[in-house]
Amino acid sequence: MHYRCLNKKPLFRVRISALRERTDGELVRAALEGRNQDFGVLVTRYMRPGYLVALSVTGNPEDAEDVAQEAFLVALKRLEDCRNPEKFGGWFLTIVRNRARNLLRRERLRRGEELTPEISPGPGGPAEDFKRLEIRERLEEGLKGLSEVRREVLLLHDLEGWKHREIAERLGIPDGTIRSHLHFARKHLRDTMGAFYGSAPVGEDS
Amino acid sequence: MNDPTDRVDLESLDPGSTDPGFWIRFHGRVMTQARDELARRGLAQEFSFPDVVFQWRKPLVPLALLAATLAGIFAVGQGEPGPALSPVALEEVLIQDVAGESIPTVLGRTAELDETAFLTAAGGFLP
Repeated sequence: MHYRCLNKKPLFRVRISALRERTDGELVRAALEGRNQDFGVLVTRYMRPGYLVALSVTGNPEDAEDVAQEAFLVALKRLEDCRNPEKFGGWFLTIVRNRARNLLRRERLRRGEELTPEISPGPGGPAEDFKRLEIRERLEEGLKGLSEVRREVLLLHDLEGWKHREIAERLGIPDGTIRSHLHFARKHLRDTMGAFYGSAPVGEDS
Repeated sequence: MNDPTDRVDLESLDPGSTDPGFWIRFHGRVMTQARDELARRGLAQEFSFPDVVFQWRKPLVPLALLAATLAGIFAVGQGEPGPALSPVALEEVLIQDVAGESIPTVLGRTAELDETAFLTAAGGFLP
């Protein structure tokens, strides 16, 4: 859709679709036609949630990374199967979850070429880096004590910043259940984190 | 139920928190691996089934025009010959509806005849 300014004088044309956030449906339809840029937007939108869902299943960052990456390629190849493109998010996260479970089941060897996150030196020096690494390990341990769905809800809400409603839509779980999962997941994590407990000064959503 | 202050800082679980280039590399890698599939889709879109089926329409129009022109030229060249045209003398045309003799006959009587005499002889002029 184009908007022509100053009546009929084509001084400039503004692409309205570029000014607003495009819906998943629009992006999926464009990706179906092989448009790189639009698929790239979908990847940007869902790479972190995909990773977090994979992490909540595998509990392993490297596996989560592999799974999320592969899930995008699987999703692209099966894009015609996404019957409701507006709900691409939920469909994609289901692919991630299934692949992560398969990975766990098969316990296949990880490839050596993966993008292993590097711990870059932080401004606090080696002591701070060590503490950060320790917190991460404790968090991963704490997450293992949660059910898969609670891990997903916790990570998508508290790390990815999705609202209850968004999680409910994409995971296909009632809003109230999401709140309950979140409550218990936080409580469990707080209890297991012990001395490393820290709270983030963020506002509650709807 | 969900007090935000109960929230545990999970930032360290994000690979991007310790490796700022992580998500950029991740994105790049996905896009690189998706390139072939996207190209295939782009190509399939360009040459969709209806396009392939009706592709012949585009060159058909000029070809049809050319064929029609050639056929027309050929038909004209091969058509039945019209009535034979014989050369007609100007004088014959002038007396075509004039009853009586032809100009050479009239003119042949006497060399002294002028135009008036001729026309009078031909019966077409009455002074």
